[in-house]
Amino acid sequence: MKKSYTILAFMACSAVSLSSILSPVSTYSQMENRFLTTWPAPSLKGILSGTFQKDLEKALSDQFPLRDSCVRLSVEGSLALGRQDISGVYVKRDGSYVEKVLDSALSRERYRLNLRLLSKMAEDEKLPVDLFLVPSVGESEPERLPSQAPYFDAGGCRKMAEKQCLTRRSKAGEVSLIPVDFKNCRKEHYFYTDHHYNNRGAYECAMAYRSYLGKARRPYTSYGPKVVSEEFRGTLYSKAPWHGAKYDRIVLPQLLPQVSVLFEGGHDGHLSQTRTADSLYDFRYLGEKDKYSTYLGGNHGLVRIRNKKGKGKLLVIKDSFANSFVPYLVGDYGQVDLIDLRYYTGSVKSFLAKEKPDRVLVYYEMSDFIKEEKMSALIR
Amino acid sequence: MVFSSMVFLGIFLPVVGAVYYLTPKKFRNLWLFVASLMFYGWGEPKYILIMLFSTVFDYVNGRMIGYFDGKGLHDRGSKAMVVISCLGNLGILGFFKYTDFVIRSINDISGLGLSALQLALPIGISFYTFQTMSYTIDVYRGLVKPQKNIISFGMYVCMFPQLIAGPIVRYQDVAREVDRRRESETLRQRGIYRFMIGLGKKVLLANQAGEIYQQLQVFSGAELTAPVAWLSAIMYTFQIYFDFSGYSDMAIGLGMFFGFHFPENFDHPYESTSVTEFWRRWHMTLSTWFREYLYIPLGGNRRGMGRQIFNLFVVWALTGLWHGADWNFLLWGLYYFLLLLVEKLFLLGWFQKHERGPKILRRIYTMLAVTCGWVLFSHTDLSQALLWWKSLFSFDGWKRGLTDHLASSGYLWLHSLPFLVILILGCTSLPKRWWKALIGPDERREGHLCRREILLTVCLFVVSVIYLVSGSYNPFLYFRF
Repeated sequence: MKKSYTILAFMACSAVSLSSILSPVSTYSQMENRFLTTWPAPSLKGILSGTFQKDLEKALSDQFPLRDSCVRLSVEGSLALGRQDISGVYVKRDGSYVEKVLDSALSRERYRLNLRLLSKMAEDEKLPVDLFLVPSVGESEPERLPSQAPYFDAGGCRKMAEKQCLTRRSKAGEVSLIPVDFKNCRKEHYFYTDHHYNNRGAYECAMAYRSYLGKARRPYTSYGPKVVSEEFRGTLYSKAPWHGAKYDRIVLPQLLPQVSVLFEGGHDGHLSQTRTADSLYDFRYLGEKDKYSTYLGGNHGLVRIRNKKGKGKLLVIKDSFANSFVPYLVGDYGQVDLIDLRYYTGSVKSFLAKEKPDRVLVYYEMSDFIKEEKMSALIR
Repeated sequence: MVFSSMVFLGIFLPVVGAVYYLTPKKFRNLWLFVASLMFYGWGEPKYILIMLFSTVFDYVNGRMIGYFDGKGLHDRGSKAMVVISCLGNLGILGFFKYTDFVIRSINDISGLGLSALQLALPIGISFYTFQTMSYTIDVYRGLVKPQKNIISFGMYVCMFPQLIAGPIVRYQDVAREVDRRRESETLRQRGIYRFMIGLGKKVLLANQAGEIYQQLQVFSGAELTAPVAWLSAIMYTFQIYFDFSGYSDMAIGLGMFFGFHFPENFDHPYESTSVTEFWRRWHMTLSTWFREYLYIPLGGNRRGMGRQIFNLFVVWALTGLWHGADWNFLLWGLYYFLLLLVEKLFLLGWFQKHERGPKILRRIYTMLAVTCGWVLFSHTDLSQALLWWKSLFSFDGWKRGLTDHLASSGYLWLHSLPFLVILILGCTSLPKRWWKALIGPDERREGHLCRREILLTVCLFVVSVIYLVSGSYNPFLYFRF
């Protein structure tokens, strides 16, 4: 019996790779919201350059049948050791998460440059530009952070923007920072398990924008909010999944005007794909893990929303936070164009020349704006 | 390829192990040679050529020394060959590892703007050039006979278990086993056991400590307070110990699996009561190498105090540079030169006088010195090293840490504390002693694995695989060596 231990060890080691090799190939991970590495085809060129070896290594762990469970177990292990700071997120015992953003990850030079680029665009195009910096969760709801956990100086960053922008409503050629304050509203504007704000947060931001434009606030219920899923676990959960994580709700405003929507380019690799729809929501995503993508079907290079009853044109330069914000906006405009600089391949300058929007809204979560590397596309 | 990877654990190891034991004994060295070349070429296939060159070069040198010795030309022919061998090996090492460092330094001093070669450093080159040099020197010294079989010699040079991160196995350590070794089930089981302990140290302790270290390294400006800097330095101190000693355990275990007995490399160095003792217990095979092949040939301590100090200076400057081609490594070596000198001249004598004093104080002194050393070691940018040193000791750093940033420092320490306790206990000899007491006297004879040892092996394997699959932080620290 004792002799067989070595053989058992062989079998255990082989089982690790065989289980990956023999199980059916999966190409996409819903859990991690990314494409998985599949088995590379051996070629002399690939082997000599080392890409074959690297891909094989990645494929072995990506194709491992119990991969999701392994990730979960490793997080449980870290939590058991008392750690809260795992894979770039703070994991709290109550089942909520907060994305960890530190000052060191945010370049002040990049931030200043991005602000200057907005001024340049406003001056060049003689357009009123409004900057909306969606508060980071640690700024507006610091109690969500684990007690005393390090977090970037969001208040200081907002002050920097206030210094460089106007605070009244902008006229042509000016940039204004839209004032926003969650502090006086009821709490819980952010998902527990996702890096985005929830529908309530989007609503508050939309109302702040309305007030800024001199329009009256509308009650939350007037948009007909409806819970469409109570089983959402978002991107932060994917980074550090564990058994005690909470579930979030996806709420969609239902009482919206009739719109037609055109999508161009997307985050899923089909950059040339163009499609049209008559809804701001893509309900297919409710059946998947990435339920936030129900809003506008995720990120696209350009989304054009037309509302026959509205008037005026608005261009929104945005990150994914705008996806759940835009439903509150469409009733006020005849045409809203959303450009996501990460996926938009055209020239913003020629777009402006052609479409001639009345206003430009730059809509980003604060740390996203500071990190945005493609802002210079605004003046090209 | 690295040990803590799915390719190694899941494919390479079972295939190489199975074929090894299915092969007749006389072909086993050939198989290990071929497997080792595959292991080595996994990341950079072209560097197999350097490996083959080293093999042929020192094989010929060894044979020539044997030939000249046979002809009674030891002092001329053999000497010339050993000089050629050392120059050749050091030349390869110097070319790949130090050329860019020299070019950069010349540029810094003269402002000439010479362009660097940007050579990718062949992995483990410092380990295997030192090994092959030990071979020709040992043959020259008459300690071992020249190896006549080039396959066996190639197997020794390229042997994958210790190829990339030590221990540095001198030819005299394994000369007999290269030609005739006795693999046994007991040795295989012990090897697997030892390998899993090493894998656990690497994947479960070193990588986690390293991840916390990385998280703390991003702190800068006012956020970088003394408590944060200390936590970071302590985490690196544990990362490098568990990583390095874990690699050595894995190498020694793999050696046992194939019937070899490699020398031990770490002996709980963080329990040392002086820096001198620390270096007797840390990376022991490197210290042995420098003592045998540099310090003693330079005259060691036999030529007066002045010469001894000079010898120590040379040895520690080179020890520093061996760890990486940058100024911080040189300074790190000289830092130990100074510490060891102070200990040799004053401190050790004083320690002896007060031998009854509490050992804990000496341990704290040693660990302070070692931890500060790692801060210098881990920052190739000297200004960064100085910044972190300053943060460790400056009044301002402490003031900020204990006033404005008390809460965040407290947070970081509090949440690292349970893991820190495990790390501290893990680096002492306590777990080993507890474990021996637990498994009882019958199983302490290092025979076949007992049930508890099997259980521990299985647990370490499963948990390590879980961490590897989950793609958690898993760096390779020795790319500069």
